[in-house]
Amino acid sequence: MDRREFVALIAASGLSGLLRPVVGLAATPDFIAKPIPSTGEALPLVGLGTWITFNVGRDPVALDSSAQVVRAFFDAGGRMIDSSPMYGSSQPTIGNALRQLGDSSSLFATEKVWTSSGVKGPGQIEQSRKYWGVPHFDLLQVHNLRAWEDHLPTLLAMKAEGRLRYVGITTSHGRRHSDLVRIIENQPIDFIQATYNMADRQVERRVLPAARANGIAVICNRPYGGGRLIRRAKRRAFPDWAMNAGMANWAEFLLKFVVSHPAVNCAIPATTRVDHVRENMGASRGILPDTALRTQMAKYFEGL
Amino acid sequence: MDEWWTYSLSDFMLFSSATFFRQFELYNEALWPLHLAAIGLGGYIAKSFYFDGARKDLQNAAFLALGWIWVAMSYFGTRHAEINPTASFLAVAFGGQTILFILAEYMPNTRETYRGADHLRNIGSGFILFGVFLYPMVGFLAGRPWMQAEVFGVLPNPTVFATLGILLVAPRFRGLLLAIPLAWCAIDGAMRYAMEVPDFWVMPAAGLLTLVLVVHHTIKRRVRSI
Repeated sequence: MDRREFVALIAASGLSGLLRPVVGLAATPDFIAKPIPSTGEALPLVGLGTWITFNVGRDPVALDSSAQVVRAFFDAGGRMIDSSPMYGSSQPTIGNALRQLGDSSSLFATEKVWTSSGVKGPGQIEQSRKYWGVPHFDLLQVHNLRAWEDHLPTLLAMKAEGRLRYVGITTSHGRRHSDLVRIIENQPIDFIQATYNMADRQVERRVLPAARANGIAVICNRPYGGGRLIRRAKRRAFPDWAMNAGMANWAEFLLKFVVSHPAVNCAIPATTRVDHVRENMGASRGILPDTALRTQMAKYFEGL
Repeated sequence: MDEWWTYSLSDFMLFSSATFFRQFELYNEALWPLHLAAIGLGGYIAKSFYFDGARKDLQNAAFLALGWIWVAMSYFGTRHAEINPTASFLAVAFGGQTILFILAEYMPNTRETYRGADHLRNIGSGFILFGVFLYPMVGFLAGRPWMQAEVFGVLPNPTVFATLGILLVAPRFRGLLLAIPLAWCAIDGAMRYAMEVPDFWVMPAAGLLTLVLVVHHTIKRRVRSI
């Protein structure tokens, strides 16, 4: 029996409750983590993206500030930090932060391979690892499906050798969903990453159902639409009904909408501010909206 | 690039405006007080292009080329490269402009030593003076601190701005030498627009005005010579 058949059996047996959030159904202010389908490892609902925010060059003030963001992220229970060679100096910025903090035992190091040459993939991955200063990555993804036919075998071989725990593939902005669904259905990957937020819900049509049916974890990038959505939201007062539903602010509103989708494991908002990290991590606590509340949230946000 | 039509300008931005301008600040701190020498050189070039006539064009072009190569190596090749993996292409472009200034001496059409029409000389001189002495005000008026000021010969925009002026004043240096400055005007405008910076329009406006003046003047000359 392969993984897909196993997942189908679990779903048919009604034991899918075992795959629900660890504490998601109880109305307790506990930290929520969802299991990665392929292994059951618990992953917090909110990670840390590094697109643009960690590309700060060698500015000592900005490097120190980024380290404080990572410290606050770990202190709040965060694990997944996501980066890419495409993100300028973000990788050395992460490495600097990890060196400053010393203990990064809870880190779930997530990286990407981003080159059109399959031959250059291993060298690029090794350079990324050196920038981070970690012994290995937990998850490596093919960035934006670039040369995925060449890179996927490399990543799967690394996983088979024990040099990597998970393999994934990414896209963003709603691009190449057809290709992504084909890969989900035919390749032995553990993760996909795609854009999902209250203004961009394209993934709900095919990608999220396909990922769920095939037992593949989902990471959501751009949960704030590059900052646009939260700026738009913050122009209005936070509604009382959302507060009563267990959301403290607009960050939790936007993030909980994303991570409450049954197929989603994690969202990775990016920020340069410690206070925003703490707000974001608030979405990992409390209760997740159910279907009716999600519908209400979506309708309310459309009207903003 | 798959589904290229779905990309917007902001998708190509690898850095925030805060980081971009903070790089100016760190760069200025590291170079100060070299700015004074750069402005002094720019002032000499401005005075010489306007008052000394064509006999000193090549000398002044060499001085101007110094500014371009400095920006290419010191800014694009080193500082900006920290946050922009494509900075090396910009360094090559600015270095290429340096070579074009040097080669200008050997280009057939640069044997002309006349000065442009009066209105081109006056506008061009205004551009040179603005680029050398007044461009640092642009950032301040846009709400940025003085430490992030952009100075001729140190950072790209005022260097390009003054160069556009020189290309208006001295026709012998037009033609190929306009291409890279105009391209930079478009690139800088697009970049600052994507970063939602209020002075995004300055370089595109300067480039567009220069292009319109040069094309109009060239057409007029050709019509008159028929």
